[in-house]
Amino acid sequence: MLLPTRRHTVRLGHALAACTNPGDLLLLSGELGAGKTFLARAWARALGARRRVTSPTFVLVNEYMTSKGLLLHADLYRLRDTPTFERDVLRLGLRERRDEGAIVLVEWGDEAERLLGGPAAITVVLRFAGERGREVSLQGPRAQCVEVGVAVEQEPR
Amino acid sequence: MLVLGIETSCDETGAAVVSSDGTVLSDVVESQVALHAEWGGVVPELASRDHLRNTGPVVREALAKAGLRLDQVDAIAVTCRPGLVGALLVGVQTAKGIAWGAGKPLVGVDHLVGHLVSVFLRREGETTQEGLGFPYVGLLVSGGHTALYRVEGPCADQIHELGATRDDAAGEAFDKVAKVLGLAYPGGPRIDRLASEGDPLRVKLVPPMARRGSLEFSFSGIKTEVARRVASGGVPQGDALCDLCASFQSAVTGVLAKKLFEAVERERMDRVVLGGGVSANRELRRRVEELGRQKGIATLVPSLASATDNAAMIAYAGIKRLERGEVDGGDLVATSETVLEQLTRKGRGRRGSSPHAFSVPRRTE
Repeated sequence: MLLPTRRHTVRLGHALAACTNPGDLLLLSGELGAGKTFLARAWARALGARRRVTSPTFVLVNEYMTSKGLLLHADLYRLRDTPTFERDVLRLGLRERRDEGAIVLVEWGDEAERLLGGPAAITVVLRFAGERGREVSLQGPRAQCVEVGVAVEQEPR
Repeated sequence: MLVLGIETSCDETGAAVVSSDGTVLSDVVESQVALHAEWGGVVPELASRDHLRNTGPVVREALAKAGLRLDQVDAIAVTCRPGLVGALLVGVQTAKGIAWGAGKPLVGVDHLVGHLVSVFLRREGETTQEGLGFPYVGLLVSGGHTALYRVEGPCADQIHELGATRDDAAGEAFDKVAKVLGLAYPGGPRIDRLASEGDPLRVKLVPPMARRGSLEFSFSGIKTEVARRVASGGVPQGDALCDLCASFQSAVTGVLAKKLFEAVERERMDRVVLGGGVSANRELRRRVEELGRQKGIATLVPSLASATDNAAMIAYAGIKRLERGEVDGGDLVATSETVLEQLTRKGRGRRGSSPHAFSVPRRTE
């Protein structure tokens, strides 16, 4: 799927939010500058987060209240490639927060799926596609739900 | 009044003793930069463990350096927000223990408030800067935060956000660009040094969010632009690397300085204050001082030790709360969000419901 403009990304955010449930693990994957945080913001806003959604790189985890309960926006960028990666991810306690019903949205979390409490409901892979914008692919049990949502959103009304 | 401050909000464990007039009697920072350099950044969960190990020794050293016993300080101040709750908790629980054990009042301090008043600290050999006072426009610029504030006084309810970053903090952009360019951590000082040998005009980078009228920042796009260049053309070497660093630094510091003075004009202020680790950037200082001179605005920049994360600013901000009769109890909690109100996306009104304040202040005698 291609995201030629920011507006397309925002629409995708709405479709993702519609398919998100409490306790979900959601992964955002892609290189530096692929647009992970931008999509995370669109997603969080569509879920009803009212506070400013900024990069969690420095603080690791930002918390937002949404219409579907607590949303934790995490970024494992600074934990990658360290010998204590596993232990550090576990210490963030995201798995336990999921059990309590929090939606956990993680950037740079591909290698931590198991540590975050098991299968991601949706994995979004973003790729910069030059002039054409961003390319996105969806994986996971709820990917189809999102695709249908995007298709409906893009139908002329 | 003498206050012991404790700070564990991110990568530094700090303890300090400060008096009411801002005199820093001691300020100990157990810097963990050496530990983190190996991984190319700060690893907060590593930090959290280190805070636990460091807090006791750091507090004892702060008291020893000030030549004081615990019973000679009047209160304990501690950073209780914003940040990673696990790291903050180490400081908050330590402070509670000390306050309870020594029978001293406890105050929680917002880390951002600490940064915004850090210019009032006077360290050994420092004199009070000319023109210091309230109100002012504060530019807080660090790895985790980038925002402009109208600062009418030293307490959270006297500080009003004028604009902030929509995405990445300026310091985060410096660190990520440095990593893309293969430079060692911390990235800011290295880019600063390479930039001083480069020509900022040779590489064209779009100044981030340079649109007039908005006091919001965005540093995600310029980071992406640099990453894109490196992805297609490889990491530049030699002069080309210096030129790219110079362009990047010029674009980032240019927009910071420009919006700072737009805020000054809008708020009709006559002084500006910097705070946060990125205020150590030489080009940012040069630009702000130059614009200040041109426009007749007093420019106040804290010393490097005061600008970066430290516990002295927490102690000072704590003193200002105590002077208003505010004090926290054993129910003080560590919170990930700042107490400072945020603007809406469009810069109109406040965002969401009003942020919950510190636990209801009790009046002291």
